[in-house]
Amino acid sequence: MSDTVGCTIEKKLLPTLLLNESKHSRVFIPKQSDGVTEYAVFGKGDTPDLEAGQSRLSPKSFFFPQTETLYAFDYDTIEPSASEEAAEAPVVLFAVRPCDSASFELLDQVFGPENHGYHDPYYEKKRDNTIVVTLACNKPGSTCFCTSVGGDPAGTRGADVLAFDLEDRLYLEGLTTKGKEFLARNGEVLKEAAETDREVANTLASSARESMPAVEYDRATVKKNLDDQFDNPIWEKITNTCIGCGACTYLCPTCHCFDICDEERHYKGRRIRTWDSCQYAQFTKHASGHNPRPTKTERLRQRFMHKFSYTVESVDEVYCVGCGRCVRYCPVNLDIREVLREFSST
Amino acid sequence: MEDRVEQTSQAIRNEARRLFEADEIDVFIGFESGSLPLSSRPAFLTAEEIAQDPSKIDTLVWDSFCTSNLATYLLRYYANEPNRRKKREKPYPRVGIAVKGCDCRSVYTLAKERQVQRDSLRLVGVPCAGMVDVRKIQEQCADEIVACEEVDDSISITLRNGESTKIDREKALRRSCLECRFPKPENTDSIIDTPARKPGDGGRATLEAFEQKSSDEKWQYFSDELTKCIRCNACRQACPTCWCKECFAEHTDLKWIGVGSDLTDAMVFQITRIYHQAGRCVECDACYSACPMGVDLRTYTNRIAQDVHELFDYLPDFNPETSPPLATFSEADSNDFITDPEQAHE
Repeated sequence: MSDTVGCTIEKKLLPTLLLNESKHSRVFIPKQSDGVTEYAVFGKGDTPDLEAGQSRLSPKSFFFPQTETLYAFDYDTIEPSASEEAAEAPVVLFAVRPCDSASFELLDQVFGPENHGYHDPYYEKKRDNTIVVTLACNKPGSTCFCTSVGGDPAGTRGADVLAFDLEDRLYLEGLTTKGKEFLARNGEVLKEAAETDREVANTLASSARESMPAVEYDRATVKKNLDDQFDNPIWEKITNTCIGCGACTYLCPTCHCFDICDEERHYKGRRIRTWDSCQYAQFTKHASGHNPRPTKTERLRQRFMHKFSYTVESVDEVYCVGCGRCVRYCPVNLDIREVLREFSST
Repeated sequence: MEDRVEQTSQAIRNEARRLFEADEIDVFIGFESGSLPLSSRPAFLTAEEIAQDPSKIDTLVWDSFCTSNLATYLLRYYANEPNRRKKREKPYPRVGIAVKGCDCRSVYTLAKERQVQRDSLRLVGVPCAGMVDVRKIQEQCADEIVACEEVDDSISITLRNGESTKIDREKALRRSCLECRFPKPENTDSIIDTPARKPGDGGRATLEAFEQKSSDEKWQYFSDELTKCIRCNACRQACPTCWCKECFAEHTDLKWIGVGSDLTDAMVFQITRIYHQAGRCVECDACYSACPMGVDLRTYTNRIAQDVHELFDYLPDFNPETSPPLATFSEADSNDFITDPEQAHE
């Protein structure tokens, strides 16, 4: 936690704050319907559901949508896409969970200038124009394991503002310039926090931290084992249950592989970027018909190699934030935690 | 009397052990306890493993959470290896597999379609008491489920907040299980002595109720469900009879549908997926159980099954002799599905 003195807001004033923000920004809040939590546009009369827990789909789609038009074209011209223009509008993402905001920093290293000065204007614009208000988890879920992969239920990574739920109010801390500005412009509904507020927030964070089960995972050991045991037949055993769908990668906040294709008709069309998944047979299929990852085994291995070996090497990061979505929603209960355990023994 | 779950599990273990000891199989496919509450997952035991450690047999379980249709895992044993010449060098492995009524019907469907070799299989029939719909249980719980125990007809649930509750198994069963016409597998090589539930109506009542809705309401339902779809292909991959070597959705040289997240693309994908199942779908709900987003299209799979039954007097059952309607022609075939456009608009 930073040294800045935080502030508090009574929960009943949250709609006022969000309404103020919605005058100049698109505000998204967690909402629950049919047992599924998602980030939905804040409208007058709405209150954010702070009890809703983790969203089913990760909020990565705010910066990296499942389908994005890069540009439209016809026979003579190329038009910038509506999506690029829409990215100009400021956005407030309210009550993002710490694992998910941490994932934004990981995505920054792929789509942001950190990636060897490469610029992805579509991503960058949206990222620059978004304020991330992260809500610390008081009650981590049973499949959460952020602490095992370097995260924290009160983690600040990728967050502009960190909020703690203190029952009747939120304790807020501005972490970045954007975050501090956000708090400053909403001063009328905020109060300066008392020292005790911060203590309570700290206590909540540490009890959340302690409630989380430790997953056996040592970054260096797992990386070494993955690299050394590339051809270990254990991969075939692990793959037995895998049905080869892409649910794990589509729900994952850090999976970022995409495909680009044209949708066209009669000299007119659009170039789109869509999510893709290493779990699909077509993902690495060459034009010749040859596929270097011909079976599910190679494809499943790739998912783990990418997250726990290749990115450790290339950007010194593990591409797993421990959100547990893949654990919870895998149709056949192929559990990432168990695979990590498998490669943890020295 | 011994508890049903334990008794059934033990009987399956005994049968698997017998098959291994008699050297009748190289691999046995059943279920083991999953890493999450309310989940049992496919288990693969090989003769090698069992020879080394016979106690591995004891990992096999059979409770109310064995929702996967195991027939889907058989295809790989008969498929030609990718990137390799087509001629097989090794004989087909001999596979023992625990089958519910639906799994067994899928096996016979696949055998008729020449995707599996019935001779190389040892079907261990498990009369089915129905499997639960985890979503139905979650709906009844105010907090996250962290543990569960099934004893006879009730499921004891422990919640994250420490509370515990008992759920009537019957009230938590999947719709397909409540409506199932064939809970007891037939034409198996052996059958476990455990009670099956009473056969249901095959979903007639549910369909009739749905068909009372107006066209607009039906369209709304279809659109609402498809809006949730993220095109992760879990439904397709979980389905034993979705075995096309290249799915129409993945054709790139001639594109049938877009790869983006347009609603119409999701609709075309699902309509085609379901339509391809005519006379082949055994209404096992594997597609629904696998979906990470809870997309429920069972009404449509069900309708197709009913149509084929009514028009061609064919249900994919346990009879290896009958020909599937898409693979045969008879002069007595109904022509009723060919509608006169003039009349249809009247």
